[in-house]
Amino acid sequence: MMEDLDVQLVSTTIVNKCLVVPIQVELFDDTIIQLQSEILDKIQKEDLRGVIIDLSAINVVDSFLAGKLREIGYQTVLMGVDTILTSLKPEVAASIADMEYDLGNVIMARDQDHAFQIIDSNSKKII
Amino acid sequence: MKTVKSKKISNPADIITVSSNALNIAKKIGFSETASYSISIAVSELASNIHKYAKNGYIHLNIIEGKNTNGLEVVAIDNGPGIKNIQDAMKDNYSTSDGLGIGLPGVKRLMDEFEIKSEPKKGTLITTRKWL
Repeated sequence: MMEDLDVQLVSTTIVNKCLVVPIQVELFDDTIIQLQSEILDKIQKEDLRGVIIDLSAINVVDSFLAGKLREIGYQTVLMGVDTILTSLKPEVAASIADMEYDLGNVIMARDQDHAFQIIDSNSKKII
Repeated sequence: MKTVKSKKISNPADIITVSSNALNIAKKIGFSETASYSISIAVSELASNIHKYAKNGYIHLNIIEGKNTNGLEVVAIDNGPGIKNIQDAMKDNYSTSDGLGIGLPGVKRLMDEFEIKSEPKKGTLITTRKWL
């Protein structure tokens, strides 16, 4: 029963020095908060070039999730790493626009490949 | 009016369940994909507010008949602390928690009709509708 679950797991992987966070289920608020600290922790411990959050499985971006994504974007930028959100469903993009959410520093990409391209081109600029 | 779903909101999983119920019902009664997702977000905002401020409450999803068309009505009801200042709560960027402060005004933007009644220490009743 879904009601009985109070723990959700989001497994992250590091690919090409980027932290990839594939979100496969609609997130509980607590899971987002946990994920947020995990991402910041990984940035500190690993030599990361970027954080890629894949939202392809997400149907609902409510104001809490939007606020947390904006916070993650701002915090990672402060730590020198961009956060890129990828694979928004068109309907979800439309509703984010309707709600007039401000996602702040986060960068949007079509899919994970596009996200890696953005991170690669940003790294080149710096070098 | 026909109530198609009544869901008690008492834990985070209920928020996800009821917003997914709303998405499916909206699609089934003929809303566009975009409108269905909008309704689903509105339901998620209302259910999150119940969980955040009142701990427990109910979301009712009703199919309603208008003069020319049908619609979906979302009723959020709780016996929580109520909203002290409704005018403030309806302002963008106002929040008494750590949210974006865009929840209620966002819901109003996503839906066609929005009514709120709230009394401190008694609870909050929000009725919102979207027409096909």
